[in-house]
Amino acid sequence: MDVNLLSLSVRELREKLLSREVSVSDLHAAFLSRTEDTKHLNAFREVFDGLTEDIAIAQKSIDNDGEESPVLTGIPIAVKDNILIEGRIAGAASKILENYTAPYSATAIEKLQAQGALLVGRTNMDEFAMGGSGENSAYGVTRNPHDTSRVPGGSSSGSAAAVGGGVVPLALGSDTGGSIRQPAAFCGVVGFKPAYGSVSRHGLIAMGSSLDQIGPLARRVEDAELLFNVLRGADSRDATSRDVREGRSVEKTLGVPWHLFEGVDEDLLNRFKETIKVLEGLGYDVQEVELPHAKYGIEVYYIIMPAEASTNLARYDGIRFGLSHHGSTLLDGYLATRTEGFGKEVRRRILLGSYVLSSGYIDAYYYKADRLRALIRKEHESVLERVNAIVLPTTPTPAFNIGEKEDPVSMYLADIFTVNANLTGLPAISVPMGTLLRKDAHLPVGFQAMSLPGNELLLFSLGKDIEKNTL
Amino acid sequence: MDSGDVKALAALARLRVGPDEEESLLRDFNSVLAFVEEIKKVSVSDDIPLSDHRNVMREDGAPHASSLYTERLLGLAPKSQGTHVVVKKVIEHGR
Repeated sequence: MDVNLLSLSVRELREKLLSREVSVSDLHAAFLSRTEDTKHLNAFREVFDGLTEDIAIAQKSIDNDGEESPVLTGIPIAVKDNILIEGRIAGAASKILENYTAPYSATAIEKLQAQGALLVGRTNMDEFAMGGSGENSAYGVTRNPHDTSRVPGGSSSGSAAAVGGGVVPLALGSDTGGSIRQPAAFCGVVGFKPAYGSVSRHGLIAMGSSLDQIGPLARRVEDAELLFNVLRGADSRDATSRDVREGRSVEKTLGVPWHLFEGVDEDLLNRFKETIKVLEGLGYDVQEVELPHAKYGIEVYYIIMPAEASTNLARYDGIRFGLSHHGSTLLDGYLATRTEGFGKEVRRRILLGSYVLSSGYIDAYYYKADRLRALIRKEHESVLERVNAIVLPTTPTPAFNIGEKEDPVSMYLADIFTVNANLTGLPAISVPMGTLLRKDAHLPVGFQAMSLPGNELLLFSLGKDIEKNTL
Repeated sequence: MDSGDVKALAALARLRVGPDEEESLLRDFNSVLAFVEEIKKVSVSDDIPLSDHRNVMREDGAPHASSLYTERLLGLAPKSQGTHVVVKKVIEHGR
């Protein structure tokens, strides 16, 4: 069996399924074989058992309906461990949810299933999506398929490693400050964070409710686009969701905030500049733009996100679900459950969030960050009246070594180019722009573009242009 | 921040912080705070308001058939009895 099947695009896989060259069962067997070959990556929390019936249903759909069968029929898709699939465990890579069986499916999952997708496993992640490396899971580090001594990025570490490692063609991730885009960049795959509200958060374990979005990781831009189109839409069960307005403009004008790139890895920046030249050659009009307060995005993010996360994680109390340690009193129970159940980074962020929200500090930190966030948003929107996309590197460096970033602040700074898309709610895509050679390893790096909501078509077509024209 | 602050926050967040962890937490904290405090120096003009949120509520009334999810949800509770989730005593008499 050709185990490179899982590196094909969804379109190519569908052709093989429809022509009967490959059966759904063959494809699933190839997937299982790939998971065995890549066990050392620790990309999966669980490879799902009991899919015989799902496989049979998918095959029947192909046999009976052929081209009329739903677009994702039989395609293996991996799901991040913080997205609920009814009847399956959703653990957010945390001990506190180790045996939590989801009582319902996320809207995103229902939509995938309606399109015939074969959900094959749940992927490892930084615990409760808190991390940018894949080192914060309660179930071990995930490794970068391009160099296993390096991080895959996070928090959608397993999803990125699984797609980048040719184990699945598609995976779901979530992005709160870069958690789809950064690991996508590190693992050499496409990652898309939809505009806030364009994909329902119903059934996504909440981290930062004003920041979170579910989105696709894929090997091809067209597959990320396909998955986004399946996922999108207003949902009555997520009051922050809305339908995507279509068709603003696909005029090929790009803005580059060069003033933000101080300290970026030299080779990475050169690769970014080469990519810009390629785009200019393809007829894109590239201008310099200024985003004066964008540099504060990280500080703003690391105030707002812990505040929201500490609030969202208050529900884990061992009473209604999850890990439960009964102490002699109710309070003891809370203390034991939460201290045992949450890892170090989670506890750190809960405490930080409590601090910035506490009286005496809330004005200086949280309210100030909230208003600075609005200013950052205003600046981005105003620039996007003159150009159709803002482009920049996805990350300041390629994937770093496992264990390298011990100091929390140095880890946080790696998010410098991704947080503003979450703070502003803008859709943003990361597309591979080749690799950099570091100590015998070819490390992928990513090119990022952000636009106004409604301009997603431009982001996808820009992504395809880069895809066609880079190594 | 000092260790008194960490203890007070831990109590609020319902977390236990041991003495060794307290030291490393304090160090990390102060490092993170020094970093995020930069925003104190940034001036934001008065015409940028605080976020305006509005609640979106569903219509009052039963959202679904009664007991649709009861069994499933009770199954998740660490301790249950009949159709009740069991919790530690909250109210004490005579105190």
